[in-house]
Amino acid sequence: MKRPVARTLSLSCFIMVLAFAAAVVAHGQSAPRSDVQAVRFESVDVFLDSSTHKLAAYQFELFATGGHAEIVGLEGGEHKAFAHAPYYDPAALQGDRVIVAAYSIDAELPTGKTRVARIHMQITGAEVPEYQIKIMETLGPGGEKIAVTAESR
Amino acid sequence: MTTSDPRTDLELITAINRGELGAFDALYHRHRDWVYRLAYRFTHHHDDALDVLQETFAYVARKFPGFTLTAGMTSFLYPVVKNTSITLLKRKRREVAFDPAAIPETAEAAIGPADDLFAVLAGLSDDHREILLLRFVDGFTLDEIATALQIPIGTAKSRLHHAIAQLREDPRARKYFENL
Amino acid sequence: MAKERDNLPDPLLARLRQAGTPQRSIPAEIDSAILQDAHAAIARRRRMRLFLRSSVGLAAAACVLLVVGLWSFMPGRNSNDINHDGRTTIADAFTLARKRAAGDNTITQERIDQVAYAAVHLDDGRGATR
Repeated sequence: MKRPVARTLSLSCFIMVLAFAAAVVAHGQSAPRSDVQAVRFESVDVFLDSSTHKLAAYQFELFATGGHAEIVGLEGGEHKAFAHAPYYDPAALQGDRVIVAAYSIDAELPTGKTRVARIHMQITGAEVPEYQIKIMETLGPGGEKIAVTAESR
Repeated sequence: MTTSDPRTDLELITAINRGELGAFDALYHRHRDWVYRLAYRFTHHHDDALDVLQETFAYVARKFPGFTLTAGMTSFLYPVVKNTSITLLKRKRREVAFDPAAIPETAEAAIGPADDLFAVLAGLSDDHREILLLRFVDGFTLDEIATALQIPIGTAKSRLHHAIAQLREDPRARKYFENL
Repeated sequence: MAKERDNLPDPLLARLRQAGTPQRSIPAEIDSAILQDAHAAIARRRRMRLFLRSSVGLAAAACVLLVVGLWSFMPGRNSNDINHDGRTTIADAFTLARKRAAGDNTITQERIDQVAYAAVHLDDGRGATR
């Protein structure tokens, strides 16, 4: 027959072992694994500034450098002339590069700085990608080439 | 349309090429008598000459549209009439071989009624007789003779010279030259 | 030439010409038959020639269409380069759109979209410049 003190010690050790095991299991489940990266979404607004010229058509190429960015969607701009979704190649989705274009034959066309497109991106990892825009075509209402500056945010 | 049409053969041919059928009538009436005479000379038979006349102008008609005349009309027609006549005579010779009298076999028969002159002509070679008739009956120039017979003009001159000389030397034709 | 003619005396010439003139004339019905046949032959040949000419014309037109058709399908031929600047961009679609807006009903919206999508196509080797 054991003594009560010894019985109490055995029980305490057993409880401690159980608690340690539970803590280890709990730790294994909740701790972030080092090979899983964070995913987040962001949108890139593309602005064109045609100064005093009316902007009737544009085409630009956007590509991401650094980080891991995937294009997941596009929508039109703020001015009603370019409110509809622009032309783009659906193959650009899940890629980091897209050519975007739109035209408008509306009488009312934007001048100055205007957001012409919004591009939705999925970013994976902590690294922040940079976006570059290459203007390919910007035209006035008569089809004449006009100078614009481009900016993305 | 009659022979009174003032247009030249060349102008008539141009008009036919354009589709003016009346111009063919004028061309026909202008040359039909000569073609008939020539055909008669070759066939010495009225109906045969009419057949040749018909075939000759059928041949001419088949040249239109697009016919280009590069020589005189009679120079063009002469070999047509001659060959058509020869073909007709050969055909008839085969068909009526049992009746040689129906076909002129001798030069005399092909020329006309016999007398001293035609006896002389009948004695000439075919070439000499042909060139004499072309020159003095049909009124062809030496150029036209050369074209019609498809011989060099020098040959035509030489042939005519010898034909006339042969005619002059024949005693049976002498009476025609006595007053010269 | 005159020399040889002069060498034949007039009685001889007259006798020769007399012999060359048949006594019978050409019947009128022969004239009619010859001219009728000739008219028919000439008219028939004119129709044939017109037919052949139009056939040749049609054949030539068919050849031109064939060449144009083949040309438009030739590799490297870019039918979407509307303004012929050597590339396809939104300017080409915009050109068509402006024509359509100006009343050119031969241009459909589908055609404009086709050119626009060609302009943004990533793998055509012309649109993208990265």
